[in-house]
Parts: sequence; C-alpha cells; structure tokens
Amino acid sequence: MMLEVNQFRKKYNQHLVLEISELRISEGIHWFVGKNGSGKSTFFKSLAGIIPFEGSLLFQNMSPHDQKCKFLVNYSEAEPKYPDFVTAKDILTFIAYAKKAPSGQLADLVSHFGVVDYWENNIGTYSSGMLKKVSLVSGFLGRPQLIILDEPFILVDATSIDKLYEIVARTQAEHGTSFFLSSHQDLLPEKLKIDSVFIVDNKTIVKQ
Amino acid sequence: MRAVFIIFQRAIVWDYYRKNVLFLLVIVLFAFGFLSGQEHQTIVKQALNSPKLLVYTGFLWLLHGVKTYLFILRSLGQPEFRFLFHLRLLNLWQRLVLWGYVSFMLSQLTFLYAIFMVVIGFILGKLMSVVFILSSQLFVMFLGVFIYERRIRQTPEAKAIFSFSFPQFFKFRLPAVLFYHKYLLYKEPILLLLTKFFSIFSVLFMVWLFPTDEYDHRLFSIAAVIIAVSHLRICSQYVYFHNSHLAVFNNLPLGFWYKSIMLVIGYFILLLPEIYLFMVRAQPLVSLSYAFAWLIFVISLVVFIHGFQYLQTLSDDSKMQYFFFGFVFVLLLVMYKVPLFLLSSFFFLCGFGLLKKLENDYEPVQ
Repeated sequence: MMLEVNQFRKKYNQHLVLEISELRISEGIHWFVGKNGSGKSTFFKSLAGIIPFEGSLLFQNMSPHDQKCKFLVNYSEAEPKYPDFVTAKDILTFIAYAKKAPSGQLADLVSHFGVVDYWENNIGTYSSGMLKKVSLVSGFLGRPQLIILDEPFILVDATSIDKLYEIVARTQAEHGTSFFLSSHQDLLPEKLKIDSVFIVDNKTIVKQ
Repeated sequence: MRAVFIIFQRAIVWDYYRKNVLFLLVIVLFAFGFLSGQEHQTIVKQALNSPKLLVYTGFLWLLHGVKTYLFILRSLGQPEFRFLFHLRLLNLWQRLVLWGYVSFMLSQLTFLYAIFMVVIGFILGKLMSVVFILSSQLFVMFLGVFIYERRIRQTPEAKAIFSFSFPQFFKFRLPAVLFYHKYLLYKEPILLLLTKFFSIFSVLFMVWLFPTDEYDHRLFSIAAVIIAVSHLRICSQYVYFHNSHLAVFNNLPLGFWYKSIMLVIGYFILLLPEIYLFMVRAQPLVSLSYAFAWLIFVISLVVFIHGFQYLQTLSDDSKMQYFFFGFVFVLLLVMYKVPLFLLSSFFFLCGFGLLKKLENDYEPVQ
C-alpha cells in the first residue's frame, strides 16, 4: 500500500477541519473532489510535510517529515505564493537542486509549460496563470513516486491543460509515478485514466 | 474626545512601549550605564557649540521618529487595529490634535533629552541652538502627524510599503540563502536600515568608549548582546518570511544540518557590516582569538533568537518578557566573566535544538 492514514486530525486554531480515521490508497492516478474549504489542500499539505498534523500519515511507511519521504512526494500548490521580488528561475533552480533533479529536466519542463519565456523576470510581474505554471513545473522536479497537483486545472489556459494531461500520462507510463489531483468541481478530466475518486466532505475523505 | 484619546493611548502608545521595551532598555543602558551625568553635560555643551553635531543629533531624532512612524503604519495595517480607522468620523482638527498627542507621546525618548539640552542651551545663552533643537523636535512630530493623517485617509487595506526596485542591469542569479536579504531590501528597507544603524552605532560607540577608561573585553561582549537584541525583529521576520512566502520549501528534502548551515550563513551575511567594522576598528584593541570568539558569540545569539521564534506555546507578549529577562541575564553572565565560548556553545545548542524540535510543528497563526 502506497499511503496509509490512521486517526488523522488537523485543526486550525482549535477548529477541526479534517479527520480521517482510516484510509488506504494504492499506486495510480487518484482524483480528490470537494468543495472549497473542504480540506483537500490541508490533506495534501500534510502529506507533503508542509504543515503539522495529529495522527499517522505514512507514505511507504515513512512520515511526511522524513527527508527521504520528501524526495518521493512532490507538491504543486493550488494558489502558489512565492516572493514577488525573485525570479522563477531562482526558485525552480533551487528546488531542482534540492530534489536532485536529473540534468536537463528543469530545462525540459520550463520549455514544456512555456515558463522559459518569462522565468527570468521577477515573480511580481506574473499573472496568476503564469505563477500556476511555475508551481506545476516544481511539482515534476526530481524523481518523485507521488506527485500531488492541487487544483491543477484552475488558472491555466486550455493549451497548458492539454500539456499537463500529456506530461501526467507520460510520467506515469515512464516512471510509474502516482498522482493525486484535486478539484472543487465534480467533472472528471476526460483525457486521463483515473484509478479512483475520493470525496472530501463533512471534514473527512472517503473513497467513492 | 477623551474616550478616543484613551483608546489611542492604549492601542498605540502603550503597545509601542510594550513592544520596544528591550530597545528602551538598551538605550537606558547606553545613556546611564556607560555615561555619567558630567559626561552628558560635556556632550551637550559640545553639541550646542557645533552646528554639525546638532545636525547629527537632529538626524538621530528623525531616525527614531521613522521608527515610530513605521510602527504606527504597521499597526494600522493589521486587522485588529482596523477599528482605529473610525477616527475619520471626527473632524480634521480633532484628528490632528489626536495625532499630535500620539506623536508627542511616542517621541518622549528624544523629547526629554531635547528638553535637557534646551535647559543647558538657555543657561549658556545659545539661543540659535535652542531654536534648532525645538524646531527639530517639532518637525519630527509634525511629520508624524502628516504621515498618520495621510494613512488614515486611505482604506485600511491599502498597504503602506516602503520599497524600491533595482535597475534591470543589477539582476543576477540569486542563491536561496539570499532570498531573505532581498526581501528585507525590497519589502522592509526601513526595518533593515534602522536595525543596521542602531547595531553599527553600538559597535562604533563601544570601540570609541574602550580606550577612554579602564574597560576590558566585556564591553565588546555587551556590544555583541546589543547587536543580537537589535536584530530581534529581523529574526522574527525571517521566520514569518519563510512560512508565508516559501512554505512550499518545507516539501524540500533538506537535511537539518544543511538548513542550519544555510541559517548561519544567512545571518553571517546579515551581520557582515557589524563584523567588518568590529574586525577593522577593534583589531588594535583585542586579540584575534577574542575577535573570533566575539564573532561566534554574536551569531550564536541570533541563532538562538531565531530558534526561540518557533515556540508557539508562548504569545508574542510572553516572548518579549522572556527576551527582556533573558537579555538582562545574559548581560549579567557577561559581566561575571563567563567565557564567551561557553555562552556561544549554550546558545548554539539551544537555538539548533529548538529549530530541530519545533520547526516541523511550526505553523503561523491563521
């Protein structure tokens, strides 16, 4: 089993936002659906080791805070926030270094998503769509076994969505990478073979 | 109107003095710990006879004024102080009187000293100098009134940011260790400037004071503590910056020692002006081994202050209390000649310990 969740709880200011008593997820492409504020991003951020939580969340028997686990789990934010006075090149180069990205991977990715056209400008000059593509590039850097793409289809144009479908399918076929994708809309992506759907509602996550 | 005065007194004036208690303590230590009453009189007499020195004094007061302006602008931008924008319901003259009162109350540190200078100026018959001193004080206060009134006329959400941009040719590939430094330059230049000014002034003052009496190395160790304390806000801003702008970096597989070294390098670069000045100006007065121990001591203190920021079980007010008593305690340890390497080891150990234990569990208040 790729992911095992037991007695997971997450509170903000003593207010419970997500509670999962038990959940098992195997490899594959998984779709998480839930309305805004349902707890999708909270779950993803916990799994990526970005925020603390109570309970047990094990990715291949490793805690998300383990250094090894962070090599294997990548996260692309729904609404990315980077310092607006640095360039995407500065940020992505550091992420590529930290994730031990293979040589040439960063160049390929920025070229694929069209980030190369503006990545030497300060982030403060980007539109929300441009910023989102930077975040998508960061999600694919290194050799992760799970890539979490939080709301990947918002903010970006149709061409970029097609490119995203293509790279998700290719990465899974070539490296066996699993994906967690989320959306606040019920529509399933047509061009991707989804292995399972999870509903995020009533402060918990259940398999459909 | 009296009720409004009380509200501003409690929300702004008291809050300022409460949050700057360490700064005030350091100033008092400077003013009354190292200098006698006789020395104060000598300094004031020299200033009254030298227009150049008077201008420098006025500049110092303005700098302190900038610190208070920045504090109020920052407070007005915070959600919990939005209610103060109801001040717009009062007429212009009432608002100006209120801002004048706030500005006056926040200027007490420099105003009281100015009065001391004015009294001596009258005794010596230096009327032009007295006029200059009073004008400088009034200018600092009126400038504050103008800035606050301008801010209150805007919407609460409007951001009062002092920032500047470098020309295009200045761009270069920025290593991650310098992200925070660029943030300070772009988003918090006044904080950086004030901190550096105060910190550098401390070093130069101690270097100047050292040969004037029978001081020993403890004087420089006290300067190190003052430098670290003046970087308190820089340290808390470092933690804020990381968690608000680079939260996604928590997903990066960076080892504890890698992060620790990055932190030490980051602070070393931040402290370069003070370190450089100390090494150059104090070199004839201290040995190389002491200079090295001093450098390690300063960095260990800021690393400890940084690690302490991750303690979420304490409120900001409680943290300030701990810092206050901690500051006094460290000064005592220095005065009792506790070796610097021992203190540095303790602060490094605690700082890195707090970082290792609390960093993963840290989450900014929502």
